[in-house]
Amino acid sequence: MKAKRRYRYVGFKVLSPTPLGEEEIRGGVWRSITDLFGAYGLSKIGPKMIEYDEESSIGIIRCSHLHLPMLRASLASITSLRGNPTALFVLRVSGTLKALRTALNGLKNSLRTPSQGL
Amino acid sequence: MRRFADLHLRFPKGGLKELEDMLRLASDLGYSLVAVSFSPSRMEEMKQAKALCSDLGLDLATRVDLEPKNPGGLLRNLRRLRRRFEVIAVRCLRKDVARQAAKDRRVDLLNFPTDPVRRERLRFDHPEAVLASGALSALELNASTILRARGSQRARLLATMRGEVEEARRMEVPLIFSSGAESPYGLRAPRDLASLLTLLDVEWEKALDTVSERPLSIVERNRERLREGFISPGVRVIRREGEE
Repeated sequence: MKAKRRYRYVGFKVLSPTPLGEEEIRGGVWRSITDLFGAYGLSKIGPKMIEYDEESSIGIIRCSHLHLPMLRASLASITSLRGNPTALFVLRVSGTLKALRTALNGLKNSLRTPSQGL
Repeated sequence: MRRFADLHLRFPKGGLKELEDMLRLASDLGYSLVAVSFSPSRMEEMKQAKALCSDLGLDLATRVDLEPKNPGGLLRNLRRLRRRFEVIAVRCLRKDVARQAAKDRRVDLLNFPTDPVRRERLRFDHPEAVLASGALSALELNASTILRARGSQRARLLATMRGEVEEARRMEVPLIFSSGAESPYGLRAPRDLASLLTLLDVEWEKALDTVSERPLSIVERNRERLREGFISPGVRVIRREGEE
């Protein structure tokens, strides 16, 4: 019998001087994964963008539970998007979407740096 | 619960205002201790940063990065600065300086060139690891070095750094992983930093140690040594003759 594939849901926050859209974040993450691990790594991690809220700059990506460190390293490797300096921080990791959403609700205003208005 | 430390924040070009942003973000990311690299002439800014950190509930360690031209210069700098800074790092840009730094017990961190080509020639090699294992110095790797490199340069750099990590592991030289950030965009969350270290074949738990236990123990050891009355580890002056 084929084993059920298990996932991890990764909540992250984007720090950038200009607001970025979901497509730009998705493109940046996918590029970073292929830069570090190639197409093989991308297929193993199996990332899927679940949602991204431009207002709070918080998003959720799903990945294979066995390859979470690879996704984390890829997110940490992103240094610029659309020509602007950018950093992605993992806020929470959870096994279920529901638990992650609950945790992220309490973190909407996290990582606030005044001079950047984030 | 683990406490995390980032031992290498560079003083940003944007001055104290940008440093304030970095410290605030570091606190939000879950660090309990950060070390900012100050030039010895910036003592006033260092005091202001300390005051800000105490407001944020963040522990600030003072750090200086030495870049001597020769071993004699290193010894002079160490004599002058060891008692003024809590963490002393040496940027090893020459072999003779690297060797002297590795065997000197006043040096805390050994830092190697960030340029991938230069690093292949001047790296943390076996003789360096042997000297460092007999002293107290640790090998420091910076995330900024990995993040700045691109394409094949990054591949070469990762290969070199992987060799250095293996050498440090074999000789039991402590490994420290820091951000090397000079703006808020260069900072990473502690576990994100650790995940970058897994690219160098370091196991997850050991990678976490390089951003928590190891750096914290270095600062703790040095604070103990800088405390008044320190004689040697475990021995200090409690009271002098004739004192109540």
